[in-house]
Amino acid sequence: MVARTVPETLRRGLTFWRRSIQARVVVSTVLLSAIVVTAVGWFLLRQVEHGLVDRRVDAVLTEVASENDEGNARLEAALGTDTDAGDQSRDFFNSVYANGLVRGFHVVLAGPGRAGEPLQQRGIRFTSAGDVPSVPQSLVDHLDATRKTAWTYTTLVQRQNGVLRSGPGVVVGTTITIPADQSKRTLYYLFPLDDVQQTLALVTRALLTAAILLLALIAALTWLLTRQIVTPIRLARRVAERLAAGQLQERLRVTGEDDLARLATSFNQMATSLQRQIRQLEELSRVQRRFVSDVSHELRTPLTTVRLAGSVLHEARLGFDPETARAAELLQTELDRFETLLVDLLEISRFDAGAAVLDLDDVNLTDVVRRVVDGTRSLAEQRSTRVVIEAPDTPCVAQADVRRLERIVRNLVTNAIDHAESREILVTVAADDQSAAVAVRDHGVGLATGESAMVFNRFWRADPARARTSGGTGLGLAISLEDTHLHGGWLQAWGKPKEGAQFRLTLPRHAGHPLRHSPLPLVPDDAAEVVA
Amino acid sequence: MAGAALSVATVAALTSCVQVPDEGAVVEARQPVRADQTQAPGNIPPPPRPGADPAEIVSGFLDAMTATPLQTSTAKGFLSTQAQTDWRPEERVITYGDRSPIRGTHHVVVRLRGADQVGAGGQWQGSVPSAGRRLDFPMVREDGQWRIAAAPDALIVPRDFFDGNFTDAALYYFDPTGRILVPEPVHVPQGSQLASYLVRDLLRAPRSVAGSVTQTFIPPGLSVNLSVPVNHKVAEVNLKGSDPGPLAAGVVKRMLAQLSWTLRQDTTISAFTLTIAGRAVTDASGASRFPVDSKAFDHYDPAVEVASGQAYALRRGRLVSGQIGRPTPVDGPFGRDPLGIGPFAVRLDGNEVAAVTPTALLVGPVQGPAPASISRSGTGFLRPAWDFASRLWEVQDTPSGAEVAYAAHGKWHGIRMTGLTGKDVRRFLVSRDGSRIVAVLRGSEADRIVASRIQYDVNGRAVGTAGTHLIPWVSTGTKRIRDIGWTSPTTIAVLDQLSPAKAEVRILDVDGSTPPEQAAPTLVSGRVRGLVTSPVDKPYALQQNGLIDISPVDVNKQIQLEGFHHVTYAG
Repeated sequence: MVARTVPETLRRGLTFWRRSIQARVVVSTVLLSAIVVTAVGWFLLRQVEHGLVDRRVDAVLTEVASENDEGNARLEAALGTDTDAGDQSRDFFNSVYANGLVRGFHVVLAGPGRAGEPLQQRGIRFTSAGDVPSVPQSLVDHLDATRKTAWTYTTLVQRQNGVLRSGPGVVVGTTITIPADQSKRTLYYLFPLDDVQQTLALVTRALLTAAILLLALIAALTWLLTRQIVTPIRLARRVAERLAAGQLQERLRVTGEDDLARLATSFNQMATSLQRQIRQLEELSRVQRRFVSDVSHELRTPLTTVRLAGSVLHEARLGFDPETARAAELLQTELDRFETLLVDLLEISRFDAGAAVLDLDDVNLTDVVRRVVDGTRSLAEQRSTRVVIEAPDTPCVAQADVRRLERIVRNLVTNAIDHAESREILVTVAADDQSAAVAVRDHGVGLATGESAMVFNRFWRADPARARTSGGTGLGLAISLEDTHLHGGWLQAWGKPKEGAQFRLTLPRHAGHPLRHSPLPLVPDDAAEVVA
Repeated sequence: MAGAALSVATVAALTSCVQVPDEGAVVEARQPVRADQTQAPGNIPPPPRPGADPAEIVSGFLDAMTATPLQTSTAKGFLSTQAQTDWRPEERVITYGDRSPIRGTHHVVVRLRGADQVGAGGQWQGSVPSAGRRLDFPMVREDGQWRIAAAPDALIVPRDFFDGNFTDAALYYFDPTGRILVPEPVHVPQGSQLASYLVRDLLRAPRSVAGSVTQTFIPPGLSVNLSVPVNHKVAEVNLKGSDPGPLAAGVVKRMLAQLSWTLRQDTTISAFTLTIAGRAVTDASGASRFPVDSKAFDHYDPAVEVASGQAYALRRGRLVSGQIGRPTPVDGPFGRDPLGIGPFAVRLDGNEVAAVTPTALLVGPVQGPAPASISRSGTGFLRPAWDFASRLWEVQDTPSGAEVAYAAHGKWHGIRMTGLTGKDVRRFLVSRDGSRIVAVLRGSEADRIVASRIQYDVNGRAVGTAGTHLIPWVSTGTKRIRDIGWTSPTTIAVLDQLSPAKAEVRILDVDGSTPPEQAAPTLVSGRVRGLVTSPVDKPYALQQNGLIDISPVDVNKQIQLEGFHHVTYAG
């Protein structure tokens, strides 16, 4: 359940991310702001930390200098006739210790020792148990070597309320001379940096809080700003979608006088203009289609009369002189073409009027192809070409209107025979679970670049000078395309000059199901080989 | 939201990198060079030379004790390990004028000449007994080197070193009634250790000789915690020992007065703080820093701050008073009529006079109509003296010798004073604080000066004397002392008429520490009748026609004052 939910959530999130400018702008702004705030905050904290620590260290060194002065004065003032160095050392430590209790530092007084020798082995006095480990050996060694006052950072271990706690600190080491025996002792002052740490923590918390609030403010501001900008755009998108869907009366609501209001006004003006032009075009198209339909219908009655008269003449042509007989035959042929043209025009008109409907049935495409090929065999023979069928043994069944399907296939085969230039034509049938397809491949003149998209235009000719030998009206492929669309299928063309062409019809095996792929390639394998 | 959370996490992560350092490199501190506060030339004697013979070791040991600033660590280097532990140089100071050649190998002997000694508390103890002038240094070899196996428990230094590096000072205690400070002269190292020595010695209980002469208000059982450093002219008196607990305001005030008067002798000190057993002492006002020249303690002045600054004299047998050189008659009984008085003394407040006649000791007011009265009848009265408690001291020369008595509240009390009673006393002084009596004794060949401490009970009643000692004095003239007088609470001026044309005045320490031959005399031309001195006023020598200034500033400056006798200050 979880495994299924997470990818779903992720997918939805990604979809939301892709589709929402507002989300992208807000997140991007917040991220960039976070980077800047982080950098600035880190820089500020570093500055504050350096400032606090440096100031504390300066104060510590000043205090130690003062303590040293006091201590040296105390030692210089010691009784010259005193001979008890231990007593003087103890008194000196006690005075510094007392100062430390008041001024907030600990102290370690160590006797003379050899280089590298730990303090614990030198005889030490200290304020509390954690003081001695808090003195770094490096500082001890430095004082052993130079006898000069030096300091370093350290980790102080101090007992507070009975609990040992460690924290940062500064330890300053210096050397004193006990007057009684002129022996050198090392004195370490240990100052905690807890106050600095607490101040730094306070500043850090304040900066973090400020950063969070700032980021929240930036996010809110960005969200608000983008919302003010994106909302009109989103409304414009919706209106544009409705306009695109044909709802040409949709308009944006115009409020205010700002740029977005002017954009909405301009958008509305554009929509109005488009609506007017589209309606004009629709009206023109409707008038044109009506005109064509009307003309076609109106022509049918006189054509029937003319055809009856033509048939009489044609049947009586044997009794005519040869020229008259030939004219009667030509009249009959052109009357056939005229009738066919009228039929096609009426069919196109039905498509344009949206009156075309499907009469679906389970149709084996292989059977259709065989019937069409058989029906066009005489034409093929006339063109000295041969139509070969390549179909699987299993039926390639699809839900289709068999009449329209046969018309599509016949148009494709006839078209191929027209352009095959006496070369063999291959008709391939294939099917899979989702779709069934028929591909008609010829090796004739082929199609130039860009012509594959134009072959389905009405009355389009690749070479206007080339005569229609098959008796086509120039509407066959257009009608085939409309038939294919009526089925929810694809009708696509491929061609190359001198390499022939291939038309592929793909239909969903079940009416209404969307097509996702075709079982046959649009580009024939032999063409691919040539390309390769 | 995810972005915001991510950014917050990033900020938190980055800020976690900003922490107070807890380790780092060792850095040498730049500290200002501390100026040497002592301007006196220093002396660090050399340690023992390898291979030195016993005489060199002993000589080096004696030289090492002359280190300045004073220290004994170098001298200890000449001692054997055991002797270093046993040696106690703080026990006393022996000064000597000269020493014999150092001889000997396994046992070195040095003989001192002109040796005096100062006790552990800095008090002058006079000459070293003859047995003590021989210093024995048994020698021993340690690690192939000669070392001294045992040394006298003393700091042994030449007299010139002592004079140059020790200073005369005083420790201030209170009289047994707690009303006035009493100075106790001491000799302590000067320089940066002066304050430490002064406080250390002050903390010692008053000497047994002055057991009922003085008292201290500093709680017992305390000692100096290492030293008394002086920072920015403020001395930090840090005393260790058992906590005395809360002290009464009067005790604190007197304790601070003792320290204030004692520490003001160190000119590097302008104020001091006092800590006892870790607890800061405050006065009644809550102050914890006490100026050493505070006026609050002036009324404890052993020279008696409120004493009259007038000079008094007799002119044509009548008492006159006023500024030196401008005396005017007084309207009291001694100013109105010539009562035949001779030497007299004026009470410190300037209100009463005690005057000697050939047959009596008269007492009467300086001003006012009240008559003089006979306080005591008899003959042989010496010039009387008054102290701060208005006690009138008198020494009467009787056939059996001197008799000492004092009058308090109009009642006379005889007192036997060792060294004075029964002696031929020609002149005597009582210090204004009443703690000392100094007298000139007539000897068969030469006069002598003796000083005694006067002991009192807690009610201020004199009970006896103690610590009688001679104040060394050597005459180059008649060997007779014409007069003595106080020049400070602890010094006296001694007048010696060398010849009819010349007299000399020497200033001597009352503890006898002034070497008679080193007391620089002030010479006065002509015949001098007596001294006009007080512990606080300018000293003069009285001649027939006036006064001669004998102060170091205006020495021999003359003030015309003809026809005046027995010129004196109050006291």
